Amino acid sequence: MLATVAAGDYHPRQPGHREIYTGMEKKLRIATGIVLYIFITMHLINLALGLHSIALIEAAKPFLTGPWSNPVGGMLLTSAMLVHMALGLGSLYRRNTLLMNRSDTAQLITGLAVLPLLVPHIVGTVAAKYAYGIIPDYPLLIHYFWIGKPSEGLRQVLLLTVAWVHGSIGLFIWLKLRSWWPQYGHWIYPLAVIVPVCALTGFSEAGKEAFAMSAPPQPAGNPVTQAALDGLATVSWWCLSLFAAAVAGVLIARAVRLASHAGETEIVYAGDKTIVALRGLTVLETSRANDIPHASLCNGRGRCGTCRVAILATDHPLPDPGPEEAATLAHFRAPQNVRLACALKPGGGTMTIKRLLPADILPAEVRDFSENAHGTGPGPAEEPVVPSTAQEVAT
Amino acid sequence: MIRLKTVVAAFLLVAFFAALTGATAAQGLTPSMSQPSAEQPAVTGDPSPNDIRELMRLLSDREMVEWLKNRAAETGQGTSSASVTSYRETVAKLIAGARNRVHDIVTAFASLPEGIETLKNRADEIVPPGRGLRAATYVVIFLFVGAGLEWLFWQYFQPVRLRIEISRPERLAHRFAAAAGRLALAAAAVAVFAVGSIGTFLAFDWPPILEWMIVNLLLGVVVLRAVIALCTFLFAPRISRLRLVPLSEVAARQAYRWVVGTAFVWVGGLLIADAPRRMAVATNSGPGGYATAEAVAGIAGIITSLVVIAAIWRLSPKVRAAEAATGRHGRRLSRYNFAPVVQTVLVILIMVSWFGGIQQVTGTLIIAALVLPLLHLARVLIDHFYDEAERPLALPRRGEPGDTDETVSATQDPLAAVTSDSSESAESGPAAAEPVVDRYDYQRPIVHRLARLLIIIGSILALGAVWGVNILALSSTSTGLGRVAGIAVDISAALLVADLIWTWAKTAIDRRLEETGSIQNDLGPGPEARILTLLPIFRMTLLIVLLTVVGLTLLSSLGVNIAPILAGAGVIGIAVGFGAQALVRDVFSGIFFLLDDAFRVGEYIEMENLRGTVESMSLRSLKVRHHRGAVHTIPFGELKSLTNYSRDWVMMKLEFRVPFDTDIMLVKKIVKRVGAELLANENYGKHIIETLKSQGVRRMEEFNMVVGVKFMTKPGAQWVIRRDAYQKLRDEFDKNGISFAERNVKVQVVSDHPLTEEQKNAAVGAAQNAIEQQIGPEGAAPAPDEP
Repeated sequence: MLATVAAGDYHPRQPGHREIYTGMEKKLRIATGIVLYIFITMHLINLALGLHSIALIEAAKPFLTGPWSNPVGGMLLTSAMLVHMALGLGSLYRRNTLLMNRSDTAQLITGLAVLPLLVPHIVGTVAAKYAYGIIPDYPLLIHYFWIGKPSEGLRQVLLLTVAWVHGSIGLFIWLKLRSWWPQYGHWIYPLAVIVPVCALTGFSEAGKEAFAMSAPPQPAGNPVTQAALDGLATVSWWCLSLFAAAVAGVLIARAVRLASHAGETEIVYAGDKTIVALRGLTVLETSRANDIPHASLCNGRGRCGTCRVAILATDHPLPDPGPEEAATLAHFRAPQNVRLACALKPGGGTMTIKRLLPADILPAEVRDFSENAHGTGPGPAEEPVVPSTAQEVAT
Repeated sequence: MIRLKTVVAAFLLVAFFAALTGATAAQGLTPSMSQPSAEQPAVTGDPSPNDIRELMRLLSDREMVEWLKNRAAETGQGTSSASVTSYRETVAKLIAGARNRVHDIVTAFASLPEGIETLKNRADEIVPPGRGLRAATYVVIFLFVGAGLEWLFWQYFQPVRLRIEISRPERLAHRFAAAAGRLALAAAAVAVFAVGSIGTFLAFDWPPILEWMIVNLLLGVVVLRAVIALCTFLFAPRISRLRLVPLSEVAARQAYRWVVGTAFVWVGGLLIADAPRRMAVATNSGPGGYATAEAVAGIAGIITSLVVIAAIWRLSPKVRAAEAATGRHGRRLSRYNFAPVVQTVLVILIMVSWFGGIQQVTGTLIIAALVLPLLHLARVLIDHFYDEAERPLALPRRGEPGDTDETVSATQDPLAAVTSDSSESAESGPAAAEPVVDRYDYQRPIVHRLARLLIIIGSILALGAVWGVNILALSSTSTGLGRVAGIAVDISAALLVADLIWTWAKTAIDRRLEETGSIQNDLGPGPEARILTLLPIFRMTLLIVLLTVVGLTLLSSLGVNIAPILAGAGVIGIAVGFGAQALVRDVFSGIFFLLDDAFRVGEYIEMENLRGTVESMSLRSLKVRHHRGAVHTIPFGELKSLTNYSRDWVMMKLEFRVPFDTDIMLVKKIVKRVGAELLANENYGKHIIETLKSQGVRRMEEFNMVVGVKFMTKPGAQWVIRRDAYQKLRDEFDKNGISFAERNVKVQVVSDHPLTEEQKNAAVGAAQNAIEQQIGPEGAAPAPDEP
């Protein structure tokens, strides 16, 4: 929504390559995330059919999992996953602090946990099919998960939990800023619980059915051999090692980057506490780390503009706003001294700020504040008032 | 002295003791290895119908009944000596049991790995390892369902919580509502979680041992979350406005972490300790298995107690510092801090007695260790609660520039930024001296006492439960110890309740007296005057009644038969009542006069032929001071009707006699002007309800007109206003050429020649006679009494 704002009153300079890249990255992250989420949802709905029978799971497979198994879907899925993972590692690299709010923490941890839990599953299904010609179907897998190797079943359940939590956090943060969300949002929340719960109960019901089977089912293609299992284990091990190395590399790079930041900033919250901000943190991150209530609907992604603050005084020059921040500020027709707390990284000195929106703001109230919130900050009179722009942008 | 550190210690102790209680309770459920089952009574079958018939026949026999009664009396006499031996036997048995238990546990400790291995192998026979993993899978599913439902709950209620968290409660009720609302939300969330996870669990069938463990696990998670919710409620580590304990932000956070950590260790310890016990039960592994289980439980207990001790020592200085900063009512802290030592010793003692397996001693120690910290905790909580409720009045609101001092002081020291909360509360000390601030002061002692009462009663009941004694039925037992305990319980309960009632009544009455006493009434007493008379009487009566009731309760619980006292009191009451009939009548009619609000202290009243200002009232009589100084004492019983001159308003009517040729309109104008002047007077103008106004000619007399004026004032002010009104009217009339009519007799002489001097004198003399006849001496009668 905000990214579509083309013209604003507030464009101090042309965006550089890096900023354009950042804007692209955000869109790409959402797009890949949605692709992955749709895949998981369809997969889980397929699994939920286990509430009826394993046969029904297998019967629905072509419709629910099938679209992702053909070359086009498979390519889309694989590339989405890889891109999403790379972007996630990139955002980990750019994180200034690991002291985050709860949902960010949960998202980071689950994001990192998905791959180690996922690799054996992918390897066991996709790699087994292409490398060894073993075509695993649901009866085989469910028997394997519940009876053959219960630890793998546990891993599947954990994977489902972790992936769903990760996806839901990201999706809901994105959804909450849609203009239709305040009306329809309340009807979507239950879906986010019903789908995985049905999938899990379907999985356990299918497990019961597997117990009742007289003989373990056989795979459709080649039989499962010890060599195949060993080979798959090796592939898994390599994938995991690579991933661990990548995460370690990102963390090291991040440490190096943070070490290069210097200077502490003293932030005075007008009418509240004074905080000495740690190096390299944005103002919003500083607020969070010090338990200062600060509105932020998009969790510091620069999308919602609810975290904006008025800079009442500063004795150190502030960095110019990037294009995203500028676009968001322009959307709200913010005066010159208003900045986004989630994007503003003070360079040092002492800065006095005033939070402009109440910390308990709801998505439905954002528009009210976009029209009258700047009565308090100095300088709004200089801004040309163009009501039609605000309407356009808000819708 | 309030030991604030005990607040935190109390929590840790609660957690720890609850752990031990749980452990001992669980141990009580399992057959203990020190009490072999051979001691259990042999199972007997039901008697046959024939036997019952025979028994009934015997019981209906009169001789048989007599014999049974005699036997019962004999055995009753013999119980005292029997009970002495049974006490000794009990103690001996307990010591022997403790020795056995310690021996078993020590042996089990020595061979713990093998013991666990054995248990595990036997458990594996029942539950194969794959099944355990599957159970874990199920547990993850249950927890996910619970967490999902809770997430859903928060999606709808998160805005409410956020609103509570950033609210700035200003009044006591709001503050409590905010904290309680937050707790309610958290509790509801935990409940939703519990329903989701445990509910899903119930949908499955389980083998008993797995069921037990999964239930344990889920319950453990729920309990832990409940503890966390409670700790958040009390410590509010992030939001100082909602914090209920007087701790700084840093200390609160630390206390929160330690308490939650201890709870975590405790719950983990319970789960771990219970697992081998369950296995031992399920696999029938005999005394060895139980000893191993107890050893594992012992290790868990030792770890928990170590954590508790560490928490006590870690938090004690912080809490002490916070307490020094709060510094209520100039209470001074002793130089040395003994509380952590005492608490540590208690924790160790509890652990030792648990190893001995003497449940009663463990329970008693736990309760003893808990009572004092809990009392302190309650005290501190209530004090802090009221302090905080009063504080916001003195502090500027958010966004206003007033609290810049605080931020400046905070910037000097990075630590101060987070401890600024405590400095705030310290600063609020002088602000608390403002008169608005002690509006809750009279509630405070009552709430303190109520909390104390509840805690003491609760601990007594808990003690009773530990010793397996019904406290309420204690006084009817025949053993000496039971009687003493029963008497102590009765007496303390009576004293506590009486104290509570007395404190409540006294603070309420004193407060009212203080309020009414401070109202300065320069003119006529307000409605408070009656309270001034009634309340002290009521307070005294209440004191006497309370003392009597408590005294009688003490006597009766000591075993003194109070029936004769009551009967004697009744007889004496009747005798005295007859004798003092008049007195009783006085007292009661006095109460009813007061209830009728017939008069109050300071009012001017008239009864029959006595009048004066009410000076004081006793239970029996009324003292009235006449305006000339005499004091009348009138028993209430003698009062039949009573006139009160000091109520609401007084109408004063004045009359002037003016000649017939006076301009009435001019008089009206003059009166009006004088009325306005009177109203403008700064001394009594405010007491005038309706100012002076002319009523025109009231009547015509022989030689003049009577002009009436009237005004209405508050009682007591009429005299001085009348004085001024007369004076001003006279002056004004004078200025406007209106003369007051003077009594004169016109002697008309019908004669055409001048009178001689002698004839004139005769005529004047005749007129004088006529005047005297016309008016008579009663015209010179003194005016009725007026003050």
